[in-house]
Amino acid sequence: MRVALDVMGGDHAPAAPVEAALRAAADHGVDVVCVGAADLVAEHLRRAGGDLPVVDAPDVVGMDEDPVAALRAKPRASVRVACELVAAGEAAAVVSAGSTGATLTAALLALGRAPGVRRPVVAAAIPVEGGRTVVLADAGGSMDVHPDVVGGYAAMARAYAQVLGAPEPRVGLLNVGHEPGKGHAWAKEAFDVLSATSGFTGNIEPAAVLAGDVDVVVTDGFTGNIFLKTLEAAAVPGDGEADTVASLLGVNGEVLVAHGAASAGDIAAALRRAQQVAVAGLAQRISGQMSQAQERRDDG
Amino acid sequence: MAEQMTTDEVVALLTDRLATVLGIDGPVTADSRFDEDLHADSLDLVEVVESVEQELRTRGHTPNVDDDALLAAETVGDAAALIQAGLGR
Repeated sequence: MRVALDVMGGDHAPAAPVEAALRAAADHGVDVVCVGAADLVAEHLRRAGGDLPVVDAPDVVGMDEDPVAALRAKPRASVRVACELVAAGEAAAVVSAGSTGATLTAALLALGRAPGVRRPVVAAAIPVEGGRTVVLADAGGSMDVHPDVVGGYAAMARAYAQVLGAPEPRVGLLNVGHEPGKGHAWAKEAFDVLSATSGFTGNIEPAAVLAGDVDVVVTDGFTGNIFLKTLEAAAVPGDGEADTVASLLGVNGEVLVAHGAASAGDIAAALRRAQQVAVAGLAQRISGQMSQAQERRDDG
Repeated sequence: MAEQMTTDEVVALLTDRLATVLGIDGPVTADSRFDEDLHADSLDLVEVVESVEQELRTRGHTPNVDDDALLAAETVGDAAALIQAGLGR
């Protein structure tokens, strides 16, 4: 299964993504197509003495650009062209270390949303106590969203948690206290929305998330990204290989978001993960669960 | 050459896409505000507009929307007027 890599995305692009593509191909047999400015990519491949397929995409969405406006202005942006390869069936997954907002936007425009999905969500799998994993949604996809999207976030993240091995995932709303009524207006409204969601156990504080008291923690992308980056910053060196890739849930294809500062090793790991989720059909499984939930709502 | 469309016809296309693309049910009119009434942000708006543009191309039009103005549109009617104006360029 071929993985499309946005080689123009990330703080160390295109050098790190090109090196990652060559490593993933040589060491792990990942079938990678590099998407980016063809001349530049060819030069980096030549310097590294490697040879991989390249799809030309001359434009880049910068980290400082508004993703929606930039993708309207740059229809040949590398991240969008990479997503279009999946839409056309020419690749099975996308990896980008570029702007998370741009990746979400490109995926939505190129692949479309899964049935019943109001807003796709970036989900990060966080290792917690006892060898368990908590799915964080949203880990940074949408900064300003209406609280009514959190029901969908929870449903998609629960489906992901089930794929990761939790049969009946418990869902918490990240908050400043566990009592109902805590938090700002957004959190209070999100609590009300989540109250009708399967598996919802109430508000949860960060320490309880890390203790593994829930399987899914839901929040807005702004708060979730700060939470994730705080965990990364506080990680003890030598704890093991950091997981710097998240999955975009709720679009019709496999899309993985790598950290902007990702190294070649991180991106190579993301390429391996992309191959795995493509084989597992993560997007299809989540789409199927969302369709079933939609049918239940329609019947009810 | 494609037949000229009125703003009302573009409004009808937009409201249809708001329902099918975003799953918004309930009444959507030209006066519906993207933010307050539909809880739709710029990403939702652009997804819907790209879907409308695709439909317009199949009808022989060449849509050319002013993106800056589009992203500042407050109502469905505002967006429809911009799309309609772009058909004449």
